[in-house]
Amino acid sequence: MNKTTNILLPNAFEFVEDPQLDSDSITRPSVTFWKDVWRRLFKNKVAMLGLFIITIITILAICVPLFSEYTYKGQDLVNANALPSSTHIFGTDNLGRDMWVRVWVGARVSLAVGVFGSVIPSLIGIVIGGISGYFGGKLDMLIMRFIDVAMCVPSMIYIILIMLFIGSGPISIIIAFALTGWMGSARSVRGMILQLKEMEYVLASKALGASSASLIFNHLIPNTLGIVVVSMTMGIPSAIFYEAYLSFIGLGVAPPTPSWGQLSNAGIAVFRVYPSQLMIPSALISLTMLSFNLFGDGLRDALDPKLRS
Amino acid sequence: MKKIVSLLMMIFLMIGLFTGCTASSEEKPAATSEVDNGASSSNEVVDDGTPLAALQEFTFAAANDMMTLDVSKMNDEMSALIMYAANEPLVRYYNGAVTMGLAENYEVLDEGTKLVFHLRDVKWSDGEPVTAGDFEYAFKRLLNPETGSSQCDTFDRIAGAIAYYSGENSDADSVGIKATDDHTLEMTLTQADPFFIEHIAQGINFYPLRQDYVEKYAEGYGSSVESFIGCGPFVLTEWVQGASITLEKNANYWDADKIKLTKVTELIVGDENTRVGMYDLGDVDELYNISKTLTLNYPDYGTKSGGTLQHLVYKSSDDALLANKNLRLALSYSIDRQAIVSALSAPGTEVADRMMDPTNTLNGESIAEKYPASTGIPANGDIEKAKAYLSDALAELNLGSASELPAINYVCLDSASHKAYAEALQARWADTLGVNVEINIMPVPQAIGALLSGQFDIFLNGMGTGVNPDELLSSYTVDGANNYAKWNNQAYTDLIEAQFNETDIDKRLATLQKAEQLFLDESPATPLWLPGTAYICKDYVQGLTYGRQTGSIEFIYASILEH
Amino acid sequence: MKKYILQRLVISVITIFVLATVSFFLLRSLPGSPFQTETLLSVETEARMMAYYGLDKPLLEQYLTYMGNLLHGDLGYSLKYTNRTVNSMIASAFPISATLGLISLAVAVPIGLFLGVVSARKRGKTVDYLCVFISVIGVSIPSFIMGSFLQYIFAVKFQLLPIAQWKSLKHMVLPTVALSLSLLASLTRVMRASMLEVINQDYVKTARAKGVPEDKVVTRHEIRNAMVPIVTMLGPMVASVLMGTFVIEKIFAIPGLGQHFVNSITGLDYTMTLGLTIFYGSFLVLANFIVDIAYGIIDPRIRIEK
Repeated sequence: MNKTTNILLPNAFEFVEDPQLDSDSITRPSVTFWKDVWRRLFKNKVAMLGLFIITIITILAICVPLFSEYTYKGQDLVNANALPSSTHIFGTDNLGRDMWVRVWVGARVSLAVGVFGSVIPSLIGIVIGGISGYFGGKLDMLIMRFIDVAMCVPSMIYIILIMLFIGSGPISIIIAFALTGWMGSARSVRGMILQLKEMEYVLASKALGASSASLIFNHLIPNTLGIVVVSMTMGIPSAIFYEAYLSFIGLGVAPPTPSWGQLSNAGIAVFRVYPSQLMIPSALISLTMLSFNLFGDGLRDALDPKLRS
Repeated sequence: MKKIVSLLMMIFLMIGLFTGCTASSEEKPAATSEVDNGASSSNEVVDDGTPLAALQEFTFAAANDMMTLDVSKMNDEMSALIMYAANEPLVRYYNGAVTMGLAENYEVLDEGTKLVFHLRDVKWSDGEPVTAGDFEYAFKRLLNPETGSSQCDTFDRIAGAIAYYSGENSDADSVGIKATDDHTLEMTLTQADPFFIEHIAQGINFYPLRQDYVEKYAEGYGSSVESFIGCGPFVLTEWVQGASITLEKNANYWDADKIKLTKVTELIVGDENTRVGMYDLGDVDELYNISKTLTLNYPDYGTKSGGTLQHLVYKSSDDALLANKNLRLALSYSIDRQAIVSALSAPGTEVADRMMDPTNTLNGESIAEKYPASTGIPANGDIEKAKAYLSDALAELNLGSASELPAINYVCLDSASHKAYAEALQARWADTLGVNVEINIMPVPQAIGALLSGQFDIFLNGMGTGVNPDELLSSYTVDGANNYAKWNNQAYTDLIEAQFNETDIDKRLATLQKAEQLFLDESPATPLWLPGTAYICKDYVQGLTYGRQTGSIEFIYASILEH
Repeated sequence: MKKYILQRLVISVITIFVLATVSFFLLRSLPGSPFQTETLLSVETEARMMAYYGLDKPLLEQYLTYMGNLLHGDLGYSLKYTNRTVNSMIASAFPISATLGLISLAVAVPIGLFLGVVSARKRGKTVDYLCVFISVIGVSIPSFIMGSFLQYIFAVKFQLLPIAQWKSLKHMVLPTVALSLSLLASLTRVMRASMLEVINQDYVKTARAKGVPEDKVVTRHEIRNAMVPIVTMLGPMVASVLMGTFVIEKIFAIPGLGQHFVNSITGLDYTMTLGLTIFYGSFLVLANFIVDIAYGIIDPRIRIEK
C-alpha cells in the first residue's frame, strides 16, 4: 500500500457552507401539516377516484329530486315494474313510481343514516370504552358486564319500546342505532386502551402530571382511531340495511319515503324477473362503500405521521 | 393509473357477472308445466293414456314448518296440511265438496239438532281398531280447559260445549258428544245448523285421538314422529324439524287402493328465490303461493281464491276520527280496487264488493248465489260519489277542506304486501280526496294489539271467512268483544242476532243480506278483495287439488305420470 | 390468576341472572299477545290461552316461577311450537347452527387475517386494493343478496352444488362461503388497520435492526401485537355466529337456531325468546371472559385483574 496517498493536504479540503446554518433545516420543502396531508392525498389517485364518486353521488342525491319531472311518491299503477327506458331511466317499482328519483331520494336517507348510524354509536362507544379501559378494575368490570347484558337483550325489544314511547321518525332511528350499536366499539376501544395504557409514553405523560381525562382523550383514544374509523366505515352498510329492517317493522322512515336498504329489500323479492330493481340499489351501496373505503384509506395514510416519506 | 384501471376492470367484471347471469333468467324458457287446475280434476288415475311412473314420489316445498301434530291444539295451516294426509277425519273436504272419511255415512235427526255418524272398520297405522270412543276422547280433550286449546270455539254449536270449555261446568258428560258404541258417534247441537257438516269437513281438528298415546307422551304428545299415531292414507315417517317432513303410504288405510303415491316429502324452505330455484332444478314438483312477479316466469301457473276476505276496518266509535259516516264512505268509495288488485295482488285475487266469500258453499252450492245481492262499491270506485260524501262530511264537521282533518292513523302489519297496499291506498286518498293518511307499520302482535285496543283509525283485516255466511259480519255487533270497528249500531245487532237464531236457511240468508246492506251503507269496514294464491306444478303430477283454506294442498289422491 | 378466574365465574353467573331479569321484564312490557296472529283469535279465546299458560297471574309471581325453573335448567314450553320445550328446540337446532358457524369461522378467520396482513404489508399495491375490494363486497352486499347470488351461479346455472338444505358436506359449501365472506370482510379490514398501527412501531424496527428474521418479525412482533382488536372482535363474533344466522339459514333452508331468534321475538313467544337470550348470553359472557384472558397472553403487559 502506498502510504503517500493517505497524506491529508490542506487543499484536499474545501468549504461547503456553514454547517450551523443547515443542521436545523429539513430536507423537505417546508409545509404545514394540513397542506402536507392534502398534497399527499391529491397525489393518491385511488383516493381521489373515491372522493370523485362520493361527490357525484352527493350531487345527484341533492339535485335529481329537485329537477325531475317525477316525485318519489307519485304512483302510476298502470306503468308498474317498467324496465329502464328513456322516460324512466331506472324503470319503475311495483307501484309505478319512478326509480331514478326514488334511488336519489333514497340516497339522501341512506347516506345520512349510514354515516350517523355508524358514527354516533361509535362515539358513544369510544367514550365509554376509553373510560372503562383506562380506569380498569371494578369500574371496568361493571361497565363490561353491563355491555354483556346490553348485547344479549334482543334489540327488537328496544325497538318496539322506542316505537311506543317516541314514535317513528329520524330521532327514533338515531336512538335505536345508538342503543344497539355502541357496545362493539366500546369493547374494541377498551381492549386497545388496556394495551396502550402500558406504553412508555403514557407513563411519561403521567409522570409529567397529565390528568386522566387528558390522557384518555389526548393520548389513548387518538391512538385507537385508526381501527375505530375502519370499523366505522365497515359499519355503514350494516347501518343502511338496519334502517331497512327498522323501516320494515315500522321504526324507520315512514312510507312512501324510500331508502337504499328498503329498495334492495324490495328488489331481492323480484330479482329473477326484474333484476334491475335489485342491481341498481345494491350496486350503488357497494360503489359508495368502495369509494368511502378507498378515500378513507388514502386519508388515513395521508394523516399518519409514521408513514411520511 | 394502472391500479385504477385494474380496479375498474374488477368492478365491471363483477357487475357483468352479476347482471349477466340474472339477465339470463329471462332468456331461460319458463318451465313448461301444465298445472292441473284443481276445480276440474278429480282423482282419475290416467286421462290421456300416459302410464304412471314406476316411482310414485311427490315432493313439494313450503315456507314454514308445522307447529304440532297434536290435533287438539293444532291451529296452523301447515299442521293441518300434514294432518289431512296422516290422519282420517269424520268427513273430508276434498276438491270443494264434502266427502265421507272415517264415517261411512251420517244421519241428521231431531229436526237437525242431532247428528249420528256411522264409522267404518278402520285401523290405526299400528293395527289397532279406530273406535267412536277415539273421536269422543279427542273432542272432549280439546274442549277440556286443562288442555289449553285455542280451537274450542269451533265446537260452539255443540250442546254444552261452551259451558264446559269456559269452565262453567266441569262435567265432560254434559257435552253433546257421545260414542254410543264402537261404530256410532252422536253429536247434539244447540240448534239445527245446515252448515255444521261443512264446518266439520273444513275444520282442522275433527280427527280421532289415541288415548294411550296421549297419556304416554303427556305434554309432549305430537311433538315428534314417535309421539304421534294416525290412521290416514299416509304414515308420518320422518319429521326433521324446520327442514323436512316425510310421509309414506299407509298399507292399513281403509281406502288404500285409491292412494297411488308411495312417498310424499315436504321440504321447508323459507326463501322464495330458493324455492323457485329448487323447482327449476327439479328438486320439488310443486310450489304453492308464488309471488305475482314470479308468475311472469311461469305462464302455466294455476290460481285459487277464497277462504279469506281482506277488508279495511275503520274505527267508528263516537269519539273516533272516523266516527263520521260520510267520511268513511268517502274513503271507501275513492278506492280503485281493480287497479290495486291488477298491480299488486297475487293472481287469482278478486275484487270484493260485499262482506261475503263466494266460495262459501252449502251442499256444494255457492251461498253467494242463493243470497240476494247487496249494493256495494264499484270495482273502480266512484270518485264523484266519494267527493260528494267528503263535502258532506266536511260540512258536518265544520271544516273548510280535507287538509284541515287531522292525519288518519293507518296501522299496517309488517309484511311486504300489506305495506304495498297501504302505500297504494295512501296515495289514492291523497290524490282524490286530499286526505292525509299516516302509515304506522308495526310487527304483527303489536299491530293486532293496536287493533283490539282501538289505537288505530284504519286497519287492513284479512280474516278467514270460515264456513258460516255470517263469519265476518257477526263480529261487528254492539258490545261484541270482537267488534274491531268499535261500531255501535243496534239495528244491525238485532239483524245479526235474528239471522243467527233462524233455522230456515232462506230466511236466514235474507235477514243476513239486510244486515250486510246496512253494513255497506254505514261502512264501519269496507270489503276490498278476496286474496288469491298462485301455484306452479310439474306437468307429470296428476290429480293435485287445492282446498279452500289457505295452504291446503290436497295431494292424497295425486299420482305421478311417466316423465 | 386463579382467584381472578374464580371471581369472574361468580360474576358471570350474576350477569346471566341480571340478563334474565332485565329481559323478562322488558319483554313483558311489550304490548300485544303471543297468541294473536294475522288470522285474529277471538278475545275470549285469547284470554283462555293466557290463563292456560299462566300469563294472567301477577307478573312478579310469573317471574319467580320462571326463575325457579331456570335454576333447574328448565326453560319451559314454547308458546308457539305447541308441546315442544325450549330446551328440546335448542338441543335440536343448536348443533346445526354451531357446525355451520364453526366451519365458517375456520374458513373466515385464517383467510381474513392473512388478507389483512398481506394488505397492510403491500399497502397501496394492487394486492391491497384487491383485498379492499373483496372486503367491501363482503360487507356491502348483505348475505341475503350474496346467498341468492351464489345459489344462482353455482346451483341453478352451473349446477355444481346443491341449492339448499342441510344434508351432506356438499350442502354446506354455499352457506359456508356466504357466511365466511361477510365475516372475513370485516376481519380483513380491521387486521389491516391494526397491522398498519404496529408496522412502524419502534420495537418492530428494533427487532429488524437486531437481525431477527423477517418471518419472525411478522409473526412474533407485528401480528401478535396487532391481535388485540381482532380478539376483541372475535369474542362476540364467535358467540353470535354459533347461534346461527337468520338470513343464511333462511336462504339455504337450514334448520338452525337463527330463525328462532327472529321469529320468537316478532311472534312474542316469551319463553322461547327468554330461553334463547339466556342461552346466547351464556355464550357471550363466556366468550368475553376468554377474550379478557387472551389479552394477557397476547400482551403480558396487560393486567386485567387489577
